[in-house]
Amino acid sequence: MGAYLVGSQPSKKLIDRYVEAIKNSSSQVSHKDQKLLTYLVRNPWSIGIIDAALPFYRPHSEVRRRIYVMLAILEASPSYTEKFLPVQRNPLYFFYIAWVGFKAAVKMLVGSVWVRLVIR
Amino acid sequence: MKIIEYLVVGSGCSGAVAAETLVNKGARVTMLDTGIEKSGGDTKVPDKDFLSIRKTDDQQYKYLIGSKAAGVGWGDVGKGEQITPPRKHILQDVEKYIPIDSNTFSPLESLGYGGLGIGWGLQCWEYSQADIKAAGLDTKKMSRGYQVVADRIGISATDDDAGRYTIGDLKNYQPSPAMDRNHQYILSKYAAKKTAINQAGFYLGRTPLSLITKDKDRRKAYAYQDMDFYSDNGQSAWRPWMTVNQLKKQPNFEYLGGYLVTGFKELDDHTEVYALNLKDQSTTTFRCRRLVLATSALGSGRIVLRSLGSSSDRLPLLCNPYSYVPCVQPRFLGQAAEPKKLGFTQLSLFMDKQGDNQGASVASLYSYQSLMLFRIIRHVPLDFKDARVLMQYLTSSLVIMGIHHPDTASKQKYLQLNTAQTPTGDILKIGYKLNKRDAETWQAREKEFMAVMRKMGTYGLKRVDPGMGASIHYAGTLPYSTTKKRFSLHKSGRLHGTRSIYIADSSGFQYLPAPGLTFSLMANAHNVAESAFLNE
Repeated sequence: MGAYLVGSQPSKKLIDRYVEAIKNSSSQVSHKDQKLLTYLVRNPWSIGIIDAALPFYRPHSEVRRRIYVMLAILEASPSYTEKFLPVQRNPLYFFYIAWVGFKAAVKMLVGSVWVRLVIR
Repeated sequence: MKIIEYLVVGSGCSGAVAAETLVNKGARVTMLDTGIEKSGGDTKVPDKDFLSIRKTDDQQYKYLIGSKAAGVGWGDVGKGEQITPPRKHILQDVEKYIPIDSNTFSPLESLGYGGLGIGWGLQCWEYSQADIKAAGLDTKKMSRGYQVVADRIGISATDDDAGRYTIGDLKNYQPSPAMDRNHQYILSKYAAKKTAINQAGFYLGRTPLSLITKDKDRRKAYAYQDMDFYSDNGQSAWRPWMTVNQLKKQPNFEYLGGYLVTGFKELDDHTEVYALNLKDQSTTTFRCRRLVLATSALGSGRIVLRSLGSSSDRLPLLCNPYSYVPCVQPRFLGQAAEPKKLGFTQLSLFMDKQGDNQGASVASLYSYQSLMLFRIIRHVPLDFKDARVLMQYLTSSLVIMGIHHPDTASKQKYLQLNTAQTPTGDILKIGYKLNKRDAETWQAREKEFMAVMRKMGTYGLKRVDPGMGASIHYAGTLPYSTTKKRFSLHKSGRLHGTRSIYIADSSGFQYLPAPGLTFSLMANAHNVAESAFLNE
């Protein structure tokens, strides 16, 4: 999950922090979310597609919440500051952002079908 | 049992001011308060700026998100999303001791030491003369009250285009803090298009803040650390607990924390005040000559209903309708983080089509940096990985516009106390519904705000409605009245039907203007305390 979010494996310290946070929050996991979580553990490569579909299909999903908690933990660590604080960009970076947006839209469309298949 | 001379209930903005006024007059004052204080490792914030912390502090997670990520909220957008781990005690035990039953209204209340003032946004707008009268207040007394409070807490402001909407005739204020680039840009655009914008009925100016830019007594000038949502290092931002801490050093002031006042009974020569001891849940009875309630409009409404009413009684309720609009300034896309930033609002935009300073709506403008990216990423309808990339690029250009509208009473805005299995034996039921005409008017105004912001190079992305109660501005539960009707106040703040019970918060306001009410309720608290001293 950490590698998916920021492109590198987080340290054990951060993973432990994540585990502690999830234990502490003790959310109810629905049957469908449990299916998604099980699928993700077995197929970690699919996290991007699943994550892309959830904002529209299941915005309050426990899966989405857990990714979100990891995101916050990564942000609140000096190791990943440069991934979150604003940085000076070349004006042409705008086109990269447009490309990121396009990819996200495609992932969302594919993901929405994928998620339905996983949880049926 | 001893009889307390003046019993002030509550340590928030109005309680702190009322107590200080009485103490300064030589009265013997006891403050009774729930007073929950912050505790634990998540509350220790270093005296450093935000960017340095982010780059170097390995322990930052504790106060930025909470040691077990308890500060990482989830669910629907609601009030208090900006309450960070060091200020979580604002919300502690609220659901247990002052529960709410409502599908239409979600207020924020606090049992903390300093009340909601712990996390207050520091805006210190004066109401206009017309709005003061509409609220049922005295214009001369309010003018004096504003100055007294300003002199005590320290205010930074600018007399500019919006001066008649912000500082009125206030004197002795310090210079406003330096603006960041986002706000400088807006102000420069406003200056260039001022005539057209004013003709459209809009006026822009610096927001007066209870934030000092020059050293004052033991408090230090604002250091631009951009840690405003996490700490009060240097005490440049005024908080009510700072006043209460100073009062504790006075021989004629006593502070009793850990008590939730539940009710009162006025007897021949004194008043009995009943309080729940939060430690052991026992009930303690205090006796006082004069009682001054400063527990917020909801809190005072609760206590009065419990003491004098029944479950069939309803009190009115006022709350500023509120929505916010995240905006983008394309000029600042992809810029580096700015070292000198403020978490507080820097500019206020007033909409006053008639030009009579009555019934205006107001937008507060904020930059976004220190509340972290994750809080805003979750509202982006993309996968988190791509949302992070997008928002990292966008944040430097982000301005949040929070829009407040005035409110008037109606039968569909009320509170009522019902029996329930709670520590106090009851629960506050709140109903709140805007009438169709008001709802349409506010939405139309918000579109106009967005149009004016576009003229100033700042483009709204979408309007977010966080729900009724999210403004955290409540008033009017015991409105001023000249007819001595039940559950109303004399102009002095004394509860009609009583000899010595005063309400020093916003309960009495008959009308709630759009500019934040905190400075006005503090000015009023000073006036009510003076009246209580004279037993008017």
